[in-house]
Amino acid sequence: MNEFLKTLSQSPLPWLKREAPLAEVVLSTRLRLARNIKGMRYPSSAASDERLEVLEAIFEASEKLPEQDCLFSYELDTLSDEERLILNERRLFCSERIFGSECGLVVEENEEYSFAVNSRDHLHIQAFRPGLQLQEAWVVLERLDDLLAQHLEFDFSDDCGFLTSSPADVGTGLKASLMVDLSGLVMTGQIGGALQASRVLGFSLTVCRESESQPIRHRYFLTTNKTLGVRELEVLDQLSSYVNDLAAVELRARAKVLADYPYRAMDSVSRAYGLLRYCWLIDEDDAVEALLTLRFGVEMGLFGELTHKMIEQALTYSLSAHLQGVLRGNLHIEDLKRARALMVRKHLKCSH
Amino acid sequence: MICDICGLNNAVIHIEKHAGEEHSQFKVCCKCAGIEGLSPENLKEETLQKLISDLAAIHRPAKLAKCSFCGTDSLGFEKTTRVGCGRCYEDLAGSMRLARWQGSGIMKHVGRTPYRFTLAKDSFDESVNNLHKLEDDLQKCISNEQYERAAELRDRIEVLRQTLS
Repeated sequence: MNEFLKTLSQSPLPWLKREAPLAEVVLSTRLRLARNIKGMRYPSSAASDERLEVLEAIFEASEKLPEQDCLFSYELDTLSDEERLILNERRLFCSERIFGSECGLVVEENEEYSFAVNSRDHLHIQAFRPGLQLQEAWVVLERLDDLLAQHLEFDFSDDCGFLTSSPADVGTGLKASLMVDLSGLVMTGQIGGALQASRVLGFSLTVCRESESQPIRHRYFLTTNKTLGVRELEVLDQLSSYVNDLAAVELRARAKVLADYPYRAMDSVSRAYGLLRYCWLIDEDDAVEALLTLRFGVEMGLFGELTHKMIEQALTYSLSAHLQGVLRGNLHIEDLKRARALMVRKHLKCSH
Repeated sequence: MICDICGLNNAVIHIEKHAGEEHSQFKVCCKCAGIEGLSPENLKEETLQKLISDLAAIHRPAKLAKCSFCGTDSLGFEKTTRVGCGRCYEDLAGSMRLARWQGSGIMKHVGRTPYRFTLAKDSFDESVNNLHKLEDDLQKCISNEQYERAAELRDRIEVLRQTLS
């Protein structure tokens, strides 16, 4: 396996760190800028040679960046399934957004940012941060956008701004997405109000990864919708002030849960702990869900013996490719489930 | 606002139709209103009905719009809600307008511009500042009766004005 990817697979997910602003409610911040190269068909309709031309142009431009020594570029076709899965699990690219071959990825050493080439648009510049760090992530994107534009001519029109494959992104091409833990609002039954407020203010609040095994969802994605007729910083400021309000309401709701219905919180957290503690086989979705619930429990001070660090570690290694990386083997699904159960238990320091 | 029929003149008659969930709006200029026989006096229910159905036909493109560069057509766009290239935004504008309006209320881009544009704008601003400075100097030279220097400044201003225009 590629050396850099191997290191990646053995380090905890950087965007899960607890030591970040407002991380008690906002788990991660993701910003994405969509750009296309002028005079080229967009990836969904381009021929293979055209896509290759775009890929080469963007790789070439990225090599001219001042920090090019810290950048790792990959053509996704040349990677093995496992290597691709690692990048996918670290959310450096999204496999569902890939139309075909000639896709590329440029990753910064510390995963500060990445460029996805030929996914939905020619270029997606993305920055991923733990907690609420909209401004910090924006500074990174703004700088990269300017640097890359010195070597690439982006598709731009005065009226519509940056042109993208989806008309919903036209304008700034900027999408911000925050993963928020709204367990308090869910447990006090106030989540409906939050959903409505988000809609009215022009944001969308959607449930993270719908899976059938978990009927009640506690984590949501809060994303921006406006790209046209509004400045980038304006949108980010609006989102930032809204999420600050939302977090205040959520924290009040959590205090209310602890005061009025402590059993609700204890029940959901203890169930998650019980599952992780006593299961023999567990699949990725269930493990991630239970660990995130446990994270909430630690946040609420319900689990004195667990720390955020343990949960971060356990979360990283419950992801299939990361787990395979540590075990250095290609396990069957059932063996992998078993290994995951053991690995999580080891990191949570519970004996069996 | 532009007339929905000819797409050229300013619209003076605005017709809004609200039927249940459905809302539509048409704007017509003086000339087209004359052709359609529309005037405040003879504005009857039938004429309105006819006009609205005619306008609906105008709005629904009879022929499939197709992008001249990548070949994406309006049908394909409706299916995937994705365009194939930058040119689509001009060639398929008719079928896209709705999708864009629904997304965000205001149409004009006000965000960042590509670096090149910013750079060009900065140097333009700098030249304008220079010009103002030279003009001030020229006035000073004239009042101090330094005509030789004034002539030199006048020539430089002339050159700068030409490049800016």
